[in-house]
Amino acid sequence: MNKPPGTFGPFIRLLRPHRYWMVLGIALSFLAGAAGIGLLGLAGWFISASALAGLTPLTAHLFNLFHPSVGIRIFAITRTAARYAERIVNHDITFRILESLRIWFYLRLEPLAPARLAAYRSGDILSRIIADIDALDNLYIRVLTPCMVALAVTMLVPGVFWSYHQGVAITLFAGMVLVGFALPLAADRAGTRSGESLARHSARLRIHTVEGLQGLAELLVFNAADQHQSKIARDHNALLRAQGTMSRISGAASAGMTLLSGATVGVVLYLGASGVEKAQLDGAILAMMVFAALAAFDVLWSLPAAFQYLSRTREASRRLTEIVSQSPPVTFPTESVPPKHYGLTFENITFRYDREEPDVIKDFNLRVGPGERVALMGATGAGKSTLFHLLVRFWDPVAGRIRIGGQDIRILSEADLRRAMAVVSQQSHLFNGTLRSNLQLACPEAGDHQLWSALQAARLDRFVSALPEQLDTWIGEAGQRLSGGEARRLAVAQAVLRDAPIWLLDEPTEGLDSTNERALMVTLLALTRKRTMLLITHRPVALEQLDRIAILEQGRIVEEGHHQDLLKANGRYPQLGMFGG
Amino acid sequence: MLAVGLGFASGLLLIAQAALIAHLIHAAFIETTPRSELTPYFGLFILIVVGRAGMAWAREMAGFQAGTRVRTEVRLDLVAHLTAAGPAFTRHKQSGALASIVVEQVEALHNFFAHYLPQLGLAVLVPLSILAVVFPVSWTAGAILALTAPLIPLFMVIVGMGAESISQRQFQALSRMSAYFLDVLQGLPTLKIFQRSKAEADRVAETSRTYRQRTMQVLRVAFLSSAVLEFFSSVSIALVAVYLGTHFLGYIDFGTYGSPLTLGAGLFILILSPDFYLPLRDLGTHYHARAEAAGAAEAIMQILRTPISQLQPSDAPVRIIQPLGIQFDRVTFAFNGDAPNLLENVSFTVRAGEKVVLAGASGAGKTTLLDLLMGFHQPTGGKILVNGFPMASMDCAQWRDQMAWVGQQPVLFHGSLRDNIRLGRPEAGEAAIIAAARAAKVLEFADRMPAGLDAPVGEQGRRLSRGQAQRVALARAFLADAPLLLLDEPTAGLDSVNERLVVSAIEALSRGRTVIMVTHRMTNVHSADRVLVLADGGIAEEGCFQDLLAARGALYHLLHQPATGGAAP
Repeated sequence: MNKPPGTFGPFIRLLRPHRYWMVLGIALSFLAGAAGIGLLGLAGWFISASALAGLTPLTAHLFNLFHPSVGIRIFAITRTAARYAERIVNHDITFRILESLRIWFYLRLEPLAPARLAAYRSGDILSRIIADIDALDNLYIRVLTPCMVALAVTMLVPGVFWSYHQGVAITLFAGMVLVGFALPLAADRAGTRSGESLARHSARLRIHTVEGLQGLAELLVFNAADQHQSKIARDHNALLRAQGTMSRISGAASAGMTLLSGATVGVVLYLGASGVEKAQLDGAILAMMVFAALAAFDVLWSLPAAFQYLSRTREASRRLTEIVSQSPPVTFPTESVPPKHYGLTFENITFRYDREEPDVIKDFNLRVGPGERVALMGATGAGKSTLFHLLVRFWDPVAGRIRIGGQDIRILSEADLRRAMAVVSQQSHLFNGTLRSNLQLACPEAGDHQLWSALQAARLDRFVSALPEQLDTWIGEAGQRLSGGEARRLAVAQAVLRDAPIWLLDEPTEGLDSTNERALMVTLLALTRKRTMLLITHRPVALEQLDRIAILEQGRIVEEGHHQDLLKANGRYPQLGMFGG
Repeated sequence: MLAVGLGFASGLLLIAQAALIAHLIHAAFIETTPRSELTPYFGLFILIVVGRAGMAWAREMAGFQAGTRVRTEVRLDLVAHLTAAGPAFTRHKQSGALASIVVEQVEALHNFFAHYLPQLGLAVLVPLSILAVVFPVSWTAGAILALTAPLIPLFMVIVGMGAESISQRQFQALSRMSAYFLDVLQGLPTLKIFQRSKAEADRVAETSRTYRQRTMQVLRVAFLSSAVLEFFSSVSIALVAVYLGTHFLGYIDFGTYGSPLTLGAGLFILILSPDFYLPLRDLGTHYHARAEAAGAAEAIMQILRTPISQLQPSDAPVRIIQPLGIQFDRVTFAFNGDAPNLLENVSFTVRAGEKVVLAGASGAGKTTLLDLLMGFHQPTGGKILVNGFPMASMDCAQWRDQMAWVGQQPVLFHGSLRDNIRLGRPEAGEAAIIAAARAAKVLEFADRMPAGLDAPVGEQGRRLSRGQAQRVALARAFLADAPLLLLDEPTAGLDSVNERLVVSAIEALSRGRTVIMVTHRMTNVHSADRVLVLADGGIAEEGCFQDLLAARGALYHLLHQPATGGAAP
């Protein structure tokens, strides 16, 4: 048990810095357990010996009352104190482990995002990662400590008994190994399969519940709600059946443990009684053995939970290792010379997200001069957002080269590359924090004055000044307290704070109604004057103010030119946007 | 409760087992009884152990059953209530969060009913029965235990509070930490863009350090309460042992009823002393189940208390003659008593077979108006008439049979394309499904898939694009073949190719039906018979598209915002 399976390797290494604390924590837990066993063993010996001594007045008078009663008191106090100290130390260690684990995981994950994490993007899978890390946080306190303590007690108590009666010692050792290790492990093994079906059934219940809620309008209008409810009831019953199996296994395990520990005490008693009969064993020692054995089995009762936890933890560490062992998709040089100017060139870019998938972009060429503003249009899936992903180097192209100011972006350091660009995208994440902390992400050293002027530029200042807590307003998980338009404007304010020479705008007005859409576009056009700008859009708003419009189809540019020229040419452009009104 | 009864019986067996062990040691040691005479007692001992093992098994089963019954009832109630509350309620909640109440929070109830409640009964019953057998043997030993007995309820409160604050604080700290970390992971691309992703590692460290320090401060105090219980139990065992030892040696002769105690009696008492406190300690370990269940119950009750404002089932016969006309008669609606009216005295008529477009700025109440028609809400004033018959008294299922609806974001369910198309008509024949799929241009992409209409959709299968999903939703509406068609921005967010396909499918679908469409896409407006413009809670203007544009009223301003204008074709 002290040697966890290979998958724990990286995590065990994380525990190294805490090893002295861990030794202390385990030693204290052991001390508390051992003192409890000592207390009962000594008490049993003491009253038996004194009962024998008390049979005649002389022996009673000679009996040393002092030492045992002091010993009993010491054990009693040690048990209490060690238990309290053990709790404090072990919880403190758990939190320290949590800290190292989070940092370790974060540092491993950071270079992988977002390319290698694309498969894990959905909230559900991220939540599972979090749950897996939580499971590892508890590896020490729930698995390691109880196992080590149980192991030590299993060695200690029969070891002490060995000098008195070897048969009893062997019996107790065998009993403790069976009750503490063999039986819980067998139960855990038996539970693995139903554990899998448990996970499957609860996932199915969850999926059907979520889609039932998302599609409730569909279900009601098409009168299929009853049908869906009975589907959920079926999932629920299947889940209960799987849990029933688990419960039968754990019931059987606890019955087995009761049976085996009882039987062991019975055999100890039987062997001891015959030892007493043959005068090989002092009767008081027999009492001590029985009491100590009863107390020792109490220490083992926490093991089934530990083993159950171990399988969960093993599964968690396997999944986490799988994620962090991926190689980073892009690497940056540590230093670079900033670009001479901020024109962009895409040269024969070809890209696909996965080797097996078709090309998203093929032989793509585009030149955006310094200070030029260009719109990219085209059907969904034409590869527009992918171009941005390549520009910020979330991915690298399969073939071709992207240049900023004539320099290949792959020789720019991450700092120089990030400094060059401000991005307003649909996926821009708002953090659970205040407006101020979200704004300062873009520019940590910005003071209030600077924040307000950024808000003003994004036309969000009036909204924020009307809030009772202004910049200190808590915007909640993923910016829930903001409307879509406000969130988008906040992203614009962040971009303003970046004060970057290149602006990348990915459908900045999507989801806004037409009034807000126009207002935001006007703001953005004013802000990007004299800067290099790429705008992805499929909304026909204010495009005549841009220098050029490029239309993408299947990863290539099929039309390019100024708004008026494209309209006159009457090719794809007039059909793309719904130029209504 | 069965589980408590079984646990109690098991406790009584434990007392019998203690008596047997005590007797055996006493007999072998003091009375030097030959082992052969003790054999029957060993047999009895094994029987008791088997009995306790059986009880342990039965207790787990009984607890499981109890937890299962509660969960079944609560979960199915929740699902039924959410369905009854309808999209009007669920639309404004995150479906993931609601689902976690239905799935995880209901699971959290289990341990409370399966483990905590039975243990609560035992924590009272077992100590009392131990007292009941110890007192007749020695009142002093009984008194030592009993001194702490009145403290048991107090202990329960202390342990309760202690355990509650421990598990709550620890749980809170951990879940806050996890929520923070989840937030960071989700925002990792954003952090990268802002060049903050490396620096964030320090913040992760700092945040977890603060959590540790703050939580440990609380835990140091909280652990004291369980230390008190530990202390009392250790001290009582020590006191009982010292009392018995000195009694045997003849230093103390009180505490019994006349004759001195035998060793057997002493051992019996000593074995039972730790068991006196054990159920209480176990209760502490189950306490987090109580805290979790309390939190879960609150979340669950909040849902179950949601008032239901949907159209309900009714026995009233439907009097709907096709085709179907609709009349809004001074309809007023507000989300709740305090909220301002979203719609106020709205009156209009849609004649049978007419195609009407509802226009208006975001938030003007267009979607709410459709919700009212679908019976997801009920008007707070006025009435909706269907062919002159009040909708409020119709049966919800029969009324919804008369309509098909295609929303902005169609939801596809796990299953095949075919399953999704026949959502409303599971009994539909192959020919009808194919016809609907063809009319809605689903076949265009389904035919390119190896499995055709049997291709799986949803997470297990490939994801359809928005446009494809919208066409599947249209196929549903084709198959439903209902006289009333409600469309809520069916082309929003589609690229031009898909938009053209969807628009032409909608035109085909509209033939011979009454259609109400919410849109701000002008391509959709041209084909409408009439446009209703919603503004300020009422109908601002109505008429045919060209006339309204020419009048330069509300519709004109809706389309021609100030600021830079879109170009006209």
